[in-house]
Amino acid sequence: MSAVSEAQGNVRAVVPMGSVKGRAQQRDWIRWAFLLPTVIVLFVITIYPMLNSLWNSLHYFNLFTPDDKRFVGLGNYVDLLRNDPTFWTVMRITFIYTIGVVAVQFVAGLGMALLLDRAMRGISLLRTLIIIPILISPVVVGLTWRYMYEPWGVLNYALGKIGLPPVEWVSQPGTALISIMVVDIWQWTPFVVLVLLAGLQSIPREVVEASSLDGLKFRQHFTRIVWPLLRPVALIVLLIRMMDALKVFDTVYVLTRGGPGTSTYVASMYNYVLFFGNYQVGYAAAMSYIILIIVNVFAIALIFALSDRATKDESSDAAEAQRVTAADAASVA
Amino acid sequence: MKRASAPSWAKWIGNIAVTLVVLIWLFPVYWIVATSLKQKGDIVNPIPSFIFNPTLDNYRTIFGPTYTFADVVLNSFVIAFCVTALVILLAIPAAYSLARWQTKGNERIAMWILSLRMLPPVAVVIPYYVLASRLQLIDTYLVLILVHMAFGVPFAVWLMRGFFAEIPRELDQAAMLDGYSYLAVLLKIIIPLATPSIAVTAIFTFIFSWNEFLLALLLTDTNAVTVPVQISKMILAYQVLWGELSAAGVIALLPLLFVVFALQRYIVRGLTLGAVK
Repeated sequence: MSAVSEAQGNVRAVVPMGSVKGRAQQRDWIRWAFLLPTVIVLFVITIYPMLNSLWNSLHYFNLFTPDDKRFVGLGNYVDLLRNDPTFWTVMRITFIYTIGVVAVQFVAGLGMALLLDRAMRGISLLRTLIIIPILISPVVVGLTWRYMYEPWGVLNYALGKIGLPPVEWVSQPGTALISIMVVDIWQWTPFVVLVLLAGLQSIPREVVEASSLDGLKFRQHFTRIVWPLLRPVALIVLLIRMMDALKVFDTVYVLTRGGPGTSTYVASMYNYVLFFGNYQVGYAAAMSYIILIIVNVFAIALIFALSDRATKDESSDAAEAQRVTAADAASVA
Repeated sequence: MKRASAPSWAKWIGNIAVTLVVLIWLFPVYWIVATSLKQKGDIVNPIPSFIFNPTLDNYRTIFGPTYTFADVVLNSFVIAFCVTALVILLAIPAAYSLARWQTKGNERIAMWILSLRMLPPVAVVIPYYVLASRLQLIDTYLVLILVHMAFGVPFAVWLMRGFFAEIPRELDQAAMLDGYSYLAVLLKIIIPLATPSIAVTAIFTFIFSWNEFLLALLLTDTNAVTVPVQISKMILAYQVLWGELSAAGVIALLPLLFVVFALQRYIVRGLTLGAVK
């Protein structure tokens, strides 16, 4: 690895100096030729809707009364933040959800990653199998859990077997949110496992062997050797998970639709209802911009974390970006 | 942590523990597959049956005239296939450019593309809906292909940029000394070398489109309904029919089970490459 990256470094340093101006211009022309189709397509299919949405968010605009569209400035935003108790309810629930699932996923994911980081016959099969939940459509995950959450379902059967009373899981306000969170934890803990496992395996074997020769106890080994090396990757996986948890919609839609009452009413669900239930285009657009801003705070932090990592270790830039995005691949799916 | 000092009984306990954890974690997947193969009587029985006479009745029902699942699977397949083809076609040259010219401008474009990957779908679905209904594109393949591309392209560009950057530049330069143009380098050197990585990217793009729910729910009605949307409609309309529902769920799982088992080698490599040096 190091020989190749060193060579790459040299080439990077040498080529710009050696290239004459005409050649450089030609290269730049080609750089754009390769890039432009993608940039144009992305611009049209993402920038236009976002600007359109921003414009709508500054208007009073309801599809029931489409002729009464008028500019209200930041009125919709003010209404949401000041005069809309539902907004604060959904925000509170969304934050409880996000912090709860990400915390459990991180602890469980770290434990499972440590367990899976071992030499054993069939370990690569286990590492492959654990990826499955990430790849399943959230709708199917929601369907599966809804079936298991049935009052006569397999979970209550298991509770009965160990002498506990049945639980009404998603049909009572007290347990509905936790039940939804369990589904997220089940689906996305493997993602944390995947990324942390990759991080664990990138710790040089000599370091691990040296620490075991020194006779460190597991706790010392973990806090002194493993954790400091794992921390940057851990930050990245936490940020990715928080961004995605803030956006949760599919499983809530399939399992509870925000109910019973407002016990699982998350931000994306409210946004959906504002538009497709109430046809409040302007108000819903303002709500979606608030979600966008909150998610962006985490996204910007993530971009900083990624580039920080890249500059610290220039030679593994590509490997790093690839590892994180390859794991991220799963989160898209 | 392969700690040499661990005694062998501790190793065995660890081996058994890790196997159990993974198997218990996957119980819901087993359960939905098993349910889809059960007869009505076995499904509604409050004492879950782990041993039963398997039947394909539930699959016959969902592919029958009531649920027309064959059409829905075809919709999902056509949409995901077109999305994947277009995304890969756009992303390969863009990723090559971003991997090979590390200028300030390119770095900014790369970060912009990454930020698009993080866009919450709910933030763009409303303008898509308004625009699509004005253009009378609601419930067509075209609108879903376009909006899925908005999320697929950033992801594929970012992923392949990493893959391409791993290919040594000396190969490009040697080929150019032999008189290759940039396009020829891309077509004859980079793409053949990166075929497994491109395949991994294509598979994840396909699965993303196949699984995507929110946009498909809001932008389709009857003609272009995809598998997840149809399943959500079945849950709300016929929520007692767990046999049929779980069969539908298993159909939705099939492509990814194929991916996991047929392409295991590439997936594990694609997901961990760069970590294991």
